Amino acid sequence: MNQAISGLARDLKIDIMKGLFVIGMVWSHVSGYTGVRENRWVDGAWNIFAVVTFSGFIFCMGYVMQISYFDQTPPPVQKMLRSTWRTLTGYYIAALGYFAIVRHEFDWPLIRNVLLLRQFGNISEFLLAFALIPLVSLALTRPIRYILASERRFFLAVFLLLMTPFIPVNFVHSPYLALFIGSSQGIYYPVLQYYVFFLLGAYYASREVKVGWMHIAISLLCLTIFVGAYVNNNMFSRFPPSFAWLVLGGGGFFLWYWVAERLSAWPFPTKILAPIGANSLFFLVTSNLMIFSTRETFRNAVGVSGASILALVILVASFALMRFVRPLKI
Amino acid sequence: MLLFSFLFLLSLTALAYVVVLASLITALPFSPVIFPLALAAVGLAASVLSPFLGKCVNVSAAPTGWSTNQRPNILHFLNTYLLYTIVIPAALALLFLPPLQFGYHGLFHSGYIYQILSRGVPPENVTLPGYPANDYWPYHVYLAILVRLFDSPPPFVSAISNVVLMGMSFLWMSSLWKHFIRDASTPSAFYVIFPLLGSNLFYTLNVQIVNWISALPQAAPWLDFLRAADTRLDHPIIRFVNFNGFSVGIVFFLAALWTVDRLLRNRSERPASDFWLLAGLGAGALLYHATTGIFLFAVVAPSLAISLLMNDRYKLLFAKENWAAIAKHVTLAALFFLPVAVFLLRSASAMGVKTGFEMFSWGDVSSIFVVAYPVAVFFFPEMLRAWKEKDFPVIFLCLVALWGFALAICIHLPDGNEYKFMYLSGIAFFLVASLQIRVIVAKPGFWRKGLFAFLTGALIYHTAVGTWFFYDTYRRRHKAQIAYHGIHVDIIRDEFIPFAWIREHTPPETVIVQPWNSKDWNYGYFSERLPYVVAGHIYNEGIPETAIRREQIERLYDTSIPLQERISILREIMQSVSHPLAIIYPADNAFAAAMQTAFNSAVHHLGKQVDIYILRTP
Repeated sequence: MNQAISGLARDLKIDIMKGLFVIGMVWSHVSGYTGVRENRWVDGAWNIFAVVTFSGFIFCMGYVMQISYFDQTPPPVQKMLRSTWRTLTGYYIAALGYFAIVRHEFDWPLIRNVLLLRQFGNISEFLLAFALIPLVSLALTRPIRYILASERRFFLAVFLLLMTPFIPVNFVHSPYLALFIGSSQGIYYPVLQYYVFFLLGAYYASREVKVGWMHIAISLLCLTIFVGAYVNNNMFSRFPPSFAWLVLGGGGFFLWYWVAERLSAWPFPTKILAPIGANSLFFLVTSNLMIFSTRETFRNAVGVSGASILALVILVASFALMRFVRPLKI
Repeated sequence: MLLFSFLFLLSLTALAYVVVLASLITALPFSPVIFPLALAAVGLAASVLSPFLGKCVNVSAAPTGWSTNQRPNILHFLNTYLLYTIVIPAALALLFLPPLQFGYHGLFHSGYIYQILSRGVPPENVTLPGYPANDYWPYHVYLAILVRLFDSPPPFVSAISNVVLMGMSFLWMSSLWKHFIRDASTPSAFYVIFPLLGSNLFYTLNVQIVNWISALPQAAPWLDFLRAADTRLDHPIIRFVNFNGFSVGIVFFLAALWTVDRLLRNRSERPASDFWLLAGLGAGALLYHATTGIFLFAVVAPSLAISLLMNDRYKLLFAKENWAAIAKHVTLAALFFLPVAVFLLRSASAMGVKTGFEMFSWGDVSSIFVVAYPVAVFFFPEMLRAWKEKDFPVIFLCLVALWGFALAICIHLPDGNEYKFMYLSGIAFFLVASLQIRVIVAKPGFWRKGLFAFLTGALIYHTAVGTWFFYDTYRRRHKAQIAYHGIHVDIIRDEFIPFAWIREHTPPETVIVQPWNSKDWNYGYFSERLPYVVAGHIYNEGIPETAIRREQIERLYDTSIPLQERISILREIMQSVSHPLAIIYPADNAFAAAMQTAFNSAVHHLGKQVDIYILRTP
């Protein structure tokens, strides 16, 4: 069964979409670390990327897992566990890199705290959610299949998950609990609140939903509302995620989805974006390490265009590094 | 998407119904009871009704566009969708500019929402605290939920709601149009937008004509007829911009038209279900925007009854053997509507002005004339065709248009709100006219294309001018710098400083005593407290307390009146409301000393100009 699936042509739109998100994320991280976010336009763009990117990644994860896991009999559990382990390793590399390079801290207590998830590395916290969501999905395989089998159950689950931002999380002090339900004390991408996008991605894959103009209209409306709120200095809570943050981000990323679908018909952008998306973990970890390393050199030394060029250079360098690797099967 | 829109409307109805029913029994706080209750109602409605509605709503209503695997035909795309762009400037302006979000009545509507958020339901009359609300407050509950969901202030969520409702209106109109022309393909944007935004199409021209002829030495007496038209019918885009419940009402109205149309086309397998669907929509309309609700019952329902009686299939429905079943449904419907009726009667009895009948009103005739005349030449031929061909759905629309106009002439609603009847009738009128326009334009001939181009140009101009008008009016009306933070609004001007202070330092039930001011100019509503009395609310006129309070306020701030007399006025005010009072008063040492002596109330100086006194009632 798996061999039959792997023999099919790969649906590249999700890889392209992830590639677009990686580019946006690297640019946002560079903007933050070089200080150009003080520019209001940059900050606005940064916020748009922030609201759509993580939700979009989770959507892609749901989409891919539906095809590669939930649709399979028997489901390839070991493959998923390996993937989770890879993501977790990537997180540890980025987090330890942050403390070593940016904070100049590196001792055993710190390493222990990072490994035990008591301390988190900057701009890599989201990787933990990337690792945890597949794990949760593995544990909930049967309920998720049950929910996806019926539209009624699916919409009810979406409705209930969209209400989870109203769970009072002020009392949550444990980082372990916060990783799952969020906390107002720290930067967490809680699994529960964002899980709606995983289900949505799985639903789109299972029903092969086509993106039409109504998607684009809703996406543009969501982004316009978000920008309207930003212009009026009324930003929505991101940590913990608020209802508006989830809904507007969720609506917004369909624009990326639509663009990815359009681009998948063109060979040139596909050749560039699809490898980036397919190796998003590699790009996110290496780009983080490069940003940490170049931080002191470029902080407050470049403008918007300089930061954008730096982001491009980091992406090109990561792309080149990826090409240097020769997988050797022994 | 139509299914979602139906779910949205029925969820709104369920929400309002549950909240109103509960409030008839006991007062409820908004949180923690109302919010979960409301969400439970929405979830319940969605889960229970989705399979039923899935069967009902079997027409793809949305202008869905091409699937991603198809190559678009750009000309077809432009012809179908391009005209939708005329509403984008209004939507952007509304979402980006707080003064436009405030609109005309946004301040006191915000007052209702803040009151519901902090003190629950049912709210007091926010223009006359201590008295029951005389407004359609389920609409404010709906916005209060949006405020909580988006953690944004009422004007901003009202803007979001309006833009979404405008999109929904297009959806419903698109689906209606598909029914009428019996073509499932996506209709041209013109036919979707024209009935909704075409009303009073030549408004600008009418104004110019009146101005030109008025400038003549001897103005024609019939000009008075044109001048008498209700100016609130100027640009229909305003219906989807203003901070009030009419936009919700319009969507309920369109959904009701859609359901009736379905019944009349014999598409329904279970007519009783459709009647119950209509009952639900009617209840929702009554609760969210009473004028639209009344229109549904006074105009749409009789028009439906006449159309059904003309339809052979439904004549059997009223046969003797069905009487028992009809009686059962009518009894159940009466029970269903009982809480809604009680709610409406309570609200109506809390109004100072009442709905009345008038045999004839030239003002209303003039308003109807300016709304309808640009397309009357298309309406009547289509009506005749429908009559000859026994096209019941179109006959029904004609009845809605004509009976709605006739009723508007004969009825007088508070604040002249019968103009809303005219707008709703105008939608049906323009829809019928559009059917004839389509027939004319479909035939070959240069003048026919020219006619279509002219109407399209007029629609674009009318909407563009309307957008500019509301932008310009509200931008100049609310000139202050406005800042949002969370659900709160700050007005960056000196006059707002006392209100910001009151918001921070007083309990939510506090009533503000301040100089006499219109409800539509009173930024004090953003203190999230209520003013003791305000001007400009016609629903309060006729309530004796309004005049009494006005006189109290005018005397309180009249420094020529002796100090002790002013203090005694404050005692009267304390006795008339059982709330803590925050008195905003010009800085005056003598008055401060008298307040200290009379009430032991310390003065809070806000700069050198204004003092605030807090009085807590025993």
